[in-house]
Amino acid sequence: MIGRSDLASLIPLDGPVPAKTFVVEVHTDDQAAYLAELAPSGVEPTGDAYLWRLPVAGAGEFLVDGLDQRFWSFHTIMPSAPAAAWLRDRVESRRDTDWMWLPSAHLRHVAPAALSHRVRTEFDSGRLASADDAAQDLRVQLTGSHADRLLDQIAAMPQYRHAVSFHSIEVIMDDPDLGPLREAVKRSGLFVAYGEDFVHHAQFVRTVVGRYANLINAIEALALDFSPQSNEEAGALGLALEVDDFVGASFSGTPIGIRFSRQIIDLPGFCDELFSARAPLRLWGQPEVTEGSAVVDAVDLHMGQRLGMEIGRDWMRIYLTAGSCGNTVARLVSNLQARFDSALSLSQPGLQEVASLEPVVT
Amino acid sequence: MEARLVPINAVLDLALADGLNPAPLAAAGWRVACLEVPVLTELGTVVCDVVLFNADIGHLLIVEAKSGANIEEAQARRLTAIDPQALIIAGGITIPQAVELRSEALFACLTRHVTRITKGISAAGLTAPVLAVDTNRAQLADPALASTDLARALSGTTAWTHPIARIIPFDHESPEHLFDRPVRAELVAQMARYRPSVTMRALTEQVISHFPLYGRRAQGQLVRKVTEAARQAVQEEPERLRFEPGTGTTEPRVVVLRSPEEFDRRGRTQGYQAVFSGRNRRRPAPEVPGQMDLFTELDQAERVTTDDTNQNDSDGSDDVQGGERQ
Repeated sequence: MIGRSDLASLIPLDGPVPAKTFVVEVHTDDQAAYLAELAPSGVEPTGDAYLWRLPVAGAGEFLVDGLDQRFWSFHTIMPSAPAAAWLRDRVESRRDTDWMWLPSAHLRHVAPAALSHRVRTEFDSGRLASADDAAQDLRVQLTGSHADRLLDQIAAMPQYRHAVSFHSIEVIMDDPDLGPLREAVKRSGLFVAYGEDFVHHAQFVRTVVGRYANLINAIEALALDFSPQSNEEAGALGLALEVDDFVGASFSGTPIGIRFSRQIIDLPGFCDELFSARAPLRLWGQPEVTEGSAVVDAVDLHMGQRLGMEIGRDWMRIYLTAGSCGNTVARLVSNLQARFDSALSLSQPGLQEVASLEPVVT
Repeated sequence: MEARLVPINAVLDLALADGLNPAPLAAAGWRVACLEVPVLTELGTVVCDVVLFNADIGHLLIVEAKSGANIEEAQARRLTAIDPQALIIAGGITIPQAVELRSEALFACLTRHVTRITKGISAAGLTAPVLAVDTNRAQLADPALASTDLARALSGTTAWTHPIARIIPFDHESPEHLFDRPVRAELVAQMARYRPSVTMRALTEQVISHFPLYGRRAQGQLVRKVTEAARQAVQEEPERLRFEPGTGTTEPRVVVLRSPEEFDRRGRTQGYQAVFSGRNRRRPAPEVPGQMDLFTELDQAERVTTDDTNQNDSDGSDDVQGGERQ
């Protein structure tokens, strides 16, 4: 039976096919049962309580690492297409599973000390843009040393700064202890690597996931929470409560604000597209649009959870309730960056810091 | 937002640091601690609409959010008689560091009612500050009636830069039609989660996140309004949803007959777009079927050309016809 130390030989980084890691967000209290549902044909336990072998018929296998019990790593040397297709079918058919949705800055600053060898930005506003926009569709791919510098130049131009959304980045690292590593990362949480040491790759993935987990935790810490006080507590205070009496509730949380760097010209059209249930956002809603703003009871179809939203010409407010998944907000932010405004910011300084990975000056 | 809910939401927004509207109470250190908390006073029990606590200075702000223009004298007396320690106990408020506690009642009302509210408080022989709010601004009516800390925090006018946050978007007194959209959204969420049915009580708790605030009578009113909205939703989608009244052993519930999740993955989007679509969804801009992205055509042509060149380079042949290749 294999253990964690066998991952290096099972997922070689120096073979002809690059090693791949798909990071998937999972909500479950029983990891083994979840995997049995995911792959009814069989999951093989290993000597590590958080590691499983998951065969994919005719294609190869995943080595599934659930050490982080929320953000799981699916490692494989299968070709990308069948591996991604197998996972996509499962992620999109389940309400307890989602991709990682890295904000543009998490890719931009994926490895600050490393050399960015290749970058790709993809901005495709589709129906969220107006025909007058200077940049409705902007894709840049550049290979070379410090490949991100051209994008900084483009982003410095006011008419294009909203359209520089990092889609993927390839960095080259050479650690004196861990060796060389060439790592490409896509915003949906796919990592592809060549190098010498699987442990180097796995730790790199862990670093990126850790930053993303900080963002998700910060989002969820702001969820609106009304926790009722019990009748017993009120009784202990000497309050003779009638059945109709209020018992009160503690309250915490705050709405999550987004500021856009550009105006929404056609608010009804923007809302129609945003809440059309279409991938990748998969938001359903029937907006109530008044002059200058819209109110929506939206449904995140990825997770099957409702969330209130308000949208103005250059802002958005999201009401996440306690128990809801912060990935909903991260997905919204990541996709708005790729489709409407890559220069958007979260209005709460603490949240903006973990989303932008830069200190916020207030 | 209903006008009568503006005062309570305005006070909450002043204390929520969401970074959109100015939040001078949050900036001065107040945080929302609890809502609708019953507190025992020497004059009887009183329910506090909102309690804010500033842990740095030990200051409890007891907010009475007036939906109308009248002061209930007995209630006002009880609010101004609250013992801070009793309030800490009643609200289960944590005090992070040793500090001397004090409390202050604050009446929040719509600007158009501020004169009557102020007179009412004065007529009762009480002294308490009044915060006048509307959808444009918030301002203390007479800062001299407030404590130094509160007057400093709310000095001048606070102008909203964004709509007031809708923390309490509706309550048990709201008109029934306001429940339609959130109820429909929650029914769609139930479909997305493959839920076969949902009881009216569970639906209400899902739709109204602040449901725990209310006493049983108000909760009953909310369940009735959500039930009526659910009946309306079912009438609009009889092929997807069915309402089943309660029996001696079962609660009234909505049964999901057909969810878009049952469709092939490619058909789900259209399935969801069709739910409750009778009136609201606009048609997207027309697209001519079959037309392709022109750059894709250029890319394909370039690939063929490149392939041809490579082929010619590799085998030295000159008889390859580009038109015969895909």
